[in-house]
Amino acid sequence: MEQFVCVRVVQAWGMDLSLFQFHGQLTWSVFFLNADRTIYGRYGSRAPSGTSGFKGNDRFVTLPGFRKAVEGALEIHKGYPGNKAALAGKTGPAPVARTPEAMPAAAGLSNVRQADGKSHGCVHCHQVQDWELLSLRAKGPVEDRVLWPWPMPDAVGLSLDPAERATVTEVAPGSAAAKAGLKPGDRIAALGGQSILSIADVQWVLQQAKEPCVVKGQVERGAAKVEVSLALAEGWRRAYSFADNLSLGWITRQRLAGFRCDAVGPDEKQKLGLGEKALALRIREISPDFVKDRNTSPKKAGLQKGDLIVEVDGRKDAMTESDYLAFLVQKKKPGGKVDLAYVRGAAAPVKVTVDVP
Amino acid sequence: MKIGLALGSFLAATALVGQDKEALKTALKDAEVSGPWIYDDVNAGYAEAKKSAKPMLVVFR
Repeated sequence: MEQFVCVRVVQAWGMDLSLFQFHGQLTWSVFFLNADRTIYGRYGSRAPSGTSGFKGNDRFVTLPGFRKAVEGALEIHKGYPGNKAALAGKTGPAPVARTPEAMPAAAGLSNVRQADGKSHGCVHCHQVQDWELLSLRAKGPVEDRVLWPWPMPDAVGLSLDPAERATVTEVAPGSAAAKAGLKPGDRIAALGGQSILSIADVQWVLQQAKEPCVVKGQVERGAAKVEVSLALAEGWRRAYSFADNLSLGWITRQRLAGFRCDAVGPDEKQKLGLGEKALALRIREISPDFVKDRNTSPKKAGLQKGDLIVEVDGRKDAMTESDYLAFLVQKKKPGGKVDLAYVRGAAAPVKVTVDVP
Repeated sequence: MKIGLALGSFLAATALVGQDKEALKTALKDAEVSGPWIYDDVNAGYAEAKKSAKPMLVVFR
């Protein structure tokens, strides 16, 4: 560590978002970079809790994995500035605003500016993602990359060893990774034209990927170097429930939906006489009063905990909570309305129209 | 109770961010950050990295 200038950042007020773009739901995240602000790589991954097999957040932050990323960063530094051009892709596109507090959605919040008008409070890293989503929604359609940010490699069928930089442990059958010919034991040396120091670097490349697109890479397989092409289809990011993505799920659930709900499973659908593909969302909780920015419209319309939503804007095919929230974010403009039909007990369905702030 | 105390400390800390980094560090009980670490000041990191020709390691948490 003495080979680095080490900086610890504990809050995001004033953070240069043209440079520091990372998963805001982090527990611990690292940038390796040059004094001229050229990024060498990232470390620190936090999977959404809804991803199959990836519950918990510490699993991908390990000392062996961090050590290997550190060694990789030092190798890049030794080759600098001769390798500078190859590092250009590690810096992201223009952000919504240069700093978190300059985002439109942050205007007027107490932690952006204190009552004295001079000092400021503590901006949390997750708020950067939340404000980005709300700022973009106010302007127009929100892309999947905002709702399903920082895809873990399993979104393309890859499980990587957290004790290595990016070594494949499993490849999901039928996945983009399997179709690209990746195999357990492969070491991902480059992806999207960038050197890879960590799982976070793989996430970074995936975060920049379009839909659909082909991401080219190079893996080391034994002594051989093998070129691979990951073909990513439309909607490839939707491999997990973004509603479980901590604050993004929370903020869309409270502000836009006004309730929390769960998709009813096949057994219960059968008991209820619903088809396997029928829409059935059970309201688990109406947004509580202590949530200041909640959508109060569903409660005012009479919706209650336990009600079963069976229709959304005329749509009757199955949805998850994540699907419903994405529908509100991406299909409804601020100030819009959504038509719901719900069932309570054995009564006939009731139709209501609720506001979408 | 513990949560309340922790929240109280955190809220106290948030009001200090723009004013005094040492006060913030104390309020957050960030005692383990010592020695060569630069605390919550990326610009100071750039300056030191330029002077020393070392790479930077910036931790967010």
